[in-house]
Amino acid sequence: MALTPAEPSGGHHESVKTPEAAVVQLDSVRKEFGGITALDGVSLEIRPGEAVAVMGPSGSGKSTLLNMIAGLDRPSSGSVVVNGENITRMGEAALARFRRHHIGMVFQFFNLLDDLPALENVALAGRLVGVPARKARARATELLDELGLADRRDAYPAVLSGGERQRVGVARALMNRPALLLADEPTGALDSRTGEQVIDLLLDLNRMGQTLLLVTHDQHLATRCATRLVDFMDGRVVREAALERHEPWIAR
Amino acid sequence: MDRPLSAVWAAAQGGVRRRKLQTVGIAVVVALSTATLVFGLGLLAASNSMFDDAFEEARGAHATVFFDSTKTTTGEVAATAQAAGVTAAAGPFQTAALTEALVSGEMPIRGGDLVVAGRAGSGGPMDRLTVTSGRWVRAPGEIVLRGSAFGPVRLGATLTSPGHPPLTIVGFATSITDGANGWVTPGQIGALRPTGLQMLYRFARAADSPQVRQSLSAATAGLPVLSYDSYLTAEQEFEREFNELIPFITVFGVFAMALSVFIIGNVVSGAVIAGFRHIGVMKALGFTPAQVSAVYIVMSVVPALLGCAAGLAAGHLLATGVAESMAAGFELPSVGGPSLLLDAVGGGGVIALVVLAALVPALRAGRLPAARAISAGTVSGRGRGRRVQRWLARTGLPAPVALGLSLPVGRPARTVLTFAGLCVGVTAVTMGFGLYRSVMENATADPEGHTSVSVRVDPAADGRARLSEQQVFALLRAQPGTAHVMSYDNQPVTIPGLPSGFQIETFTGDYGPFLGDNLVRGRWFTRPGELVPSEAFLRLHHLDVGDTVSLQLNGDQTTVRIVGSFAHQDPGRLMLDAASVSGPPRPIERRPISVIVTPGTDPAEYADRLNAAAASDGVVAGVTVPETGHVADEMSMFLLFLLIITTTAAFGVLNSVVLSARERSRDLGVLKAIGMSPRQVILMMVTSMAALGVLGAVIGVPLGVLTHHGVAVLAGELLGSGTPAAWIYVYSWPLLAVPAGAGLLIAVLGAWLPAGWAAATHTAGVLRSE
Ligand SMILES: Nc1ncnc2c1ncn2[C@@H]1O[C@H](COP(=O)(O)OP(=O)(O)OP(=O)(O)O)[C@@H](O)[C@H]1O
Ligand SMILES: [Mg+2]
Repeated sequence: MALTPAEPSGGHHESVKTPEAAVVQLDSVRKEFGGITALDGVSLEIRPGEAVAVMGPSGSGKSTLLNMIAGLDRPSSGSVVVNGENITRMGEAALARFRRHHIGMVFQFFNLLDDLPALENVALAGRLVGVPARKARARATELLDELGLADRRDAYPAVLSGGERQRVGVARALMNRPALLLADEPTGALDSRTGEQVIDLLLDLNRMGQTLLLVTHDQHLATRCATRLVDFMDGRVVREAALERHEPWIAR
Repeated sequence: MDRPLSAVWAAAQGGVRRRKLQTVGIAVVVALSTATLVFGLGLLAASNSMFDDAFEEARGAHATVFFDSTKTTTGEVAATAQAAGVTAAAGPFQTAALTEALVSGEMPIRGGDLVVAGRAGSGGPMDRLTVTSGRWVRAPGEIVLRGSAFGPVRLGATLTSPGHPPLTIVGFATSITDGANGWVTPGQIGALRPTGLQMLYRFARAADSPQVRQSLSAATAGLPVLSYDSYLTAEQEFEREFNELIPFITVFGVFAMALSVFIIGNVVSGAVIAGFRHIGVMKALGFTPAQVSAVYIVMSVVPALLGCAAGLAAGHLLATGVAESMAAGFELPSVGGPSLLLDAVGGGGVIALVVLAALVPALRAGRLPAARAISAGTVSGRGRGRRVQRWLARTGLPAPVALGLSLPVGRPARTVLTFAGLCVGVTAVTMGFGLYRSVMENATADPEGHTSVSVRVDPAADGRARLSEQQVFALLRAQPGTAHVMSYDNQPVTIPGLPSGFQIETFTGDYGPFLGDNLVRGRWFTRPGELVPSEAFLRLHHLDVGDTVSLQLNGDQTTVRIVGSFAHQDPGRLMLDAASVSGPPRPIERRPISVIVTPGTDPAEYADRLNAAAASDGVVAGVTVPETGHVADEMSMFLLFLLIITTTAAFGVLNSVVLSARERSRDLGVLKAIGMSPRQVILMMVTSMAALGVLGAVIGVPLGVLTHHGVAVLAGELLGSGTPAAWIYVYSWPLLAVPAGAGLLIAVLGAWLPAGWAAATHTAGVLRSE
């Protein structure tokens, strides 16, 4: 099945881990931009299969946290271990390799490449890992089919609806079976109905075992798909709560 | 009226500040092309003015006239100074012809006669000589020679001529006026059996040769004139040297200007594209379309003005330097330099071009509907290249390569401009390599260029010959390592029906291999009776291969058939087999002998062996080093031009990559977020330009070969020397490999730096925006 995530221990790297090792392990992470402290000693652990929703006011450091975990930014101090790899001191090239194998990212504004049709946008992520063109396209086709975009494969992002674009974005993020799916306000640019569809998709993925870290402003959506809630304020975790996922009418 | 202007100014300042690299780039590119242009114009101007300036300063003579002193008196000749139309005169000076003059018993002076004039001082109201080394003659037994020291011809050396007292060289002097080649005191000249009287004139009317001739015959009516020299000959010779450079400089100048236009067009349209929203805001604030256009023009004209000023200064200095060194080559005092007026015209032209290059994108900015400009983030070339991009994505190429290749498709206009710049770069490199080959061919085309060892035979102590020519040749041929031997001679000759001034250059021995690849028409002579004159001779006298010419020498007349012509601008040179002309050849001691050694023989060892073996016979051998010193000047100039053009082309690439990376910063961020490594980003950006570089070579190399062809032929036409095929068809496959690689190299070098910047941009920051 195309949507099945990688084994939590990861197939590519042979780090010594117990099966229950955390996918994300943040330890007193600080991040400063000039005078601004965006993250102020954040410690956080995410276990395989969890769906963590990060909430908090604008400017509280949520995106910074995600960037830190994705290896797009480096902490000023503290350590970030993802899928058993300490990425705190990794070089740029190693970080890129780390990202393409372990991380899938979904953005608020989709960030698809305008010049490539949906299928190629998705396949590209596989091509970066060195998957042959034919195989990459086959997997991309499968993913798009499963996300209900079978007939939009050859459409360019400009002609897709917002929800469709975001589903292409999710497909792209899933291309390399990431250990961790990061989504920064994936519904932020969508109307509420479309947003719910995307959240349902994420929920489905999590149910199939995909570890998920989600930033959202929408309490309703958060409680709907997350297994744990993390509240942020001024760069600090102010509250953590395990959630009882109420899954009313999801029929699958 | 004042406020909108200052608003335009303020907006343009903002644009300049946001685009520092491009702004500096405009300045640099404009500086380089202005420098090239001003340098070219400056040299052209110098070629026109320098001779005239030097001529005026030295009070040169419009005509130098030789009278037969056996048929006229000093008084009669002196009286011509008062003739109508003569504005100044000097002389008469007695002149003597020293035949077979030798320096230190070995070095023949100018192959024939040395005309010496008796003259009291170097200054005077006319023909002021410049003593470049040593001093002026003071006493009998001394001589000052025209020109400069060369080999054994140096200060303190003794000049001998059969039947005349020996003269010590005490100085070297330059003169703007043709005439005597040496000067002695008026007291000394009497002892040299003077046969002529030399008179120098300046005329009221002397603008062209008919005027000189008319003025001259009016002044010298009735007197026995032997011959005369006109200042126009020297002037033409001087200008010819510059003419040789004109095609090269023009082509390089055109290249540099074209590059600036491409780059400035790219910078300004890039600014317009990147500033789409900015333009919308300006319009919303109430800027008129004209004002918006003005903002973009000002943005490029301000740095262009700065670059132009720098380029003017550099080009002016360079032109002055080169003009001075060329003047020195002609033994002219250097006067003045390139004209400031021309500098201003050149600079103005460049700025006008900059405005033109900026105009198209600036007008586009002005016409942009405000609403669209505000709403559209960037303009993306929708549709056009999509099919290519999709096809590339589906090929089996590695993702960064496929993406890189599809980048140029997205911005066709920019791609075309960048590509054009690369083509110009490759064309220039191709042409430069060809010119290098042509100039080297040219420098080694004469028999000396084919000689490995030159030999002379000194006479015995009593002045008599020790060996006959046959004996010398036999001796040399018996040497191990000898491949070919010939000897060379030259002497003046007249051709009935044509004005004077011909020299025959005669060859003995197996001279075939010594004759160069510089044939313009026909073939080389292979036996007596065949003549190969300079191409300039054929053109001047409207002759061609197959025609016959009568040569008059030592009272005998010989008819020879023209079988070819060699490239040279001197219409007085005639080459043929020595046996073509009657009369005994000059003794072998007077003629240089040339040897080509067999392959694998070291010329230096050969010469040493020969010197050791045949010293008792008076044989002296030395290695011939081809004289390519003057070539070095031209080469360094080509190299400088090439450097300027390739750097500019590479900057065009750099600029193009910067613009693309800036416009696609979001895409780059996404690619990095999904796992593209910095190296892959660099690979992608470099690939995008490398593809253009390779294509640029495909177009630029043939274009360069054609341009070289045109320039070589044009140079030959301007000189009147013709261009031999060997100087045109200089390219071989290995030689073409370098310029072919140049396109790729320029593209990769130009793209590398900004690709690195793109790879290093902070991904998180880029993705935050919007
Ligand atoms: N690259 C950067 N340079 C400087 N400051 C930054 C940078 N990135 C983030 N910040 C600052 O760090 C703080 C946290 O920003 P961050 O984007 O993480 O907040 P956020 O919680 O994602 O907010 P929002 O809900 O608005 O997306 C802010 O004050 C922000 O201005
Ligand atoms: Mg955020």
